[in-house]
Amino acid sequence: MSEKTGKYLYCFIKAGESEDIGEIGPGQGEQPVYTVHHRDMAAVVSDSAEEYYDPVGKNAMCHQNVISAVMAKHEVVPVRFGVICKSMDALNKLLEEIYPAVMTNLERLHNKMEVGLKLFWTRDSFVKEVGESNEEVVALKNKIVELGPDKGYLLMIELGERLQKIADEKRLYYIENIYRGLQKEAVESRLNDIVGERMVLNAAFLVDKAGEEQFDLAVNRFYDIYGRTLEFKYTGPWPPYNFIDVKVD
Amino acid sequence: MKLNSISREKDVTLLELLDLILDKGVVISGDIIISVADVDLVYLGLRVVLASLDKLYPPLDGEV
Amino acid sequence: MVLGKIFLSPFKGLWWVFEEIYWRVDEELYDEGKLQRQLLELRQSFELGDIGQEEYELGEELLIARLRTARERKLEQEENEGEVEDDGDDSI
Repeated sequence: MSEKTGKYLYCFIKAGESEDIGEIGPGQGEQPVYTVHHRDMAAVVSDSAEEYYDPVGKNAMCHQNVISAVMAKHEVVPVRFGVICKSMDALNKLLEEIYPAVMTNLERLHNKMEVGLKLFWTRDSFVKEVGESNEEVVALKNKIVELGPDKGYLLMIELGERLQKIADEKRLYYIENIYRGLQKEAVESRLNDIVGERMVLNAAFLVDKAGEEQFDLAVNRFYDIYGRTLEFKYTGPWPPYNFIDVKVD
Repeated sequence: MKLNSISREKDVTLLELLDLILDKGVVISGDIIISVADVDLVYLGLRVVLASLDKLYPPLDGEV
Repeated sequence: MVLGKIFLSPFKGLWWVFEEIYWRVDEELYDEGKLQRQLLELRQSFELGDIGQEEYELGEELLIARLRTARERKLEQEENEGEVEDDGDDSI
């Protein structure tokens, strides 16, 4: 491919020699993935004829698969989805500029891993803890049933607002208990935005690899307490997306 | 009654993935990049909204 | 039935529709961050079983199309930037 072809960026690694990651590149996942070097750092890239990728399953999985393959051998600084350099020249310029920030992050993240914990209300517990949490909202709900959706729509908005407030209060409780508890076991932690009303907690933790088991146990201690009412989605190890602090304008 | 313990899931769901890769990780913008991040507000007419809503939310039972 | 939807499947429910109409109408419809967020919410509703495959695919198609439009408009805007100075009207 020519020097002018776009270069899709996956991640940065510390590496001296060039490597072929495999023909698992963007889109259909058939393009060669290779490294481009600057000093002792490399960018993992593939040539991209496309200028844009829809954030759909196929493309997202491809991005992740490449980084996973690299992670088997290296510690990585992952790039967000869909970043394409205009040309090899542009990439080389970027490498020079980004070098100090990438190296600082690699050092900070050395021997550490990211895990994710998402908590959800089950359907039943959502109704119990939020939807029917007090007499006022139950009365409001009954009123709407009485009026029907046409006449009751303003009340529905009011109900929606109230439920949102109640849900936020409950979430705070879980943050104080579960998130703060796990925070003590982690090197760093991030509280991310809630996705949808049934989500209770959306957190990421940076964990020392040596303390991996201990952190799993800590999660399980909370699972023992809250596992009946909340659905736990505990995942990882992930590339340390949540703990990257690199921005180039 | 004790619950079984949970371990980290190896199966990646698209939700997990999108939540991570869409707005986290190294951010690059400027001249050297093709993609445009952080799109500003773009205005469009109400009709388009209603048309889209119509597509997403077909009339409820009993409505015409 | 409608109430069931409000509690269990807000994406599908009228609550969500009203929210969309009254507060998001057009000004933020093509904001990339918001669209990504909606995509996540849609995906979550699907993975939690609150909406079915068909509804998910329909919603995904719409949001992906909006994301493309958002990007195209942004690119157009950038191309025109040299000619038209930003008048700062979009400040809040």
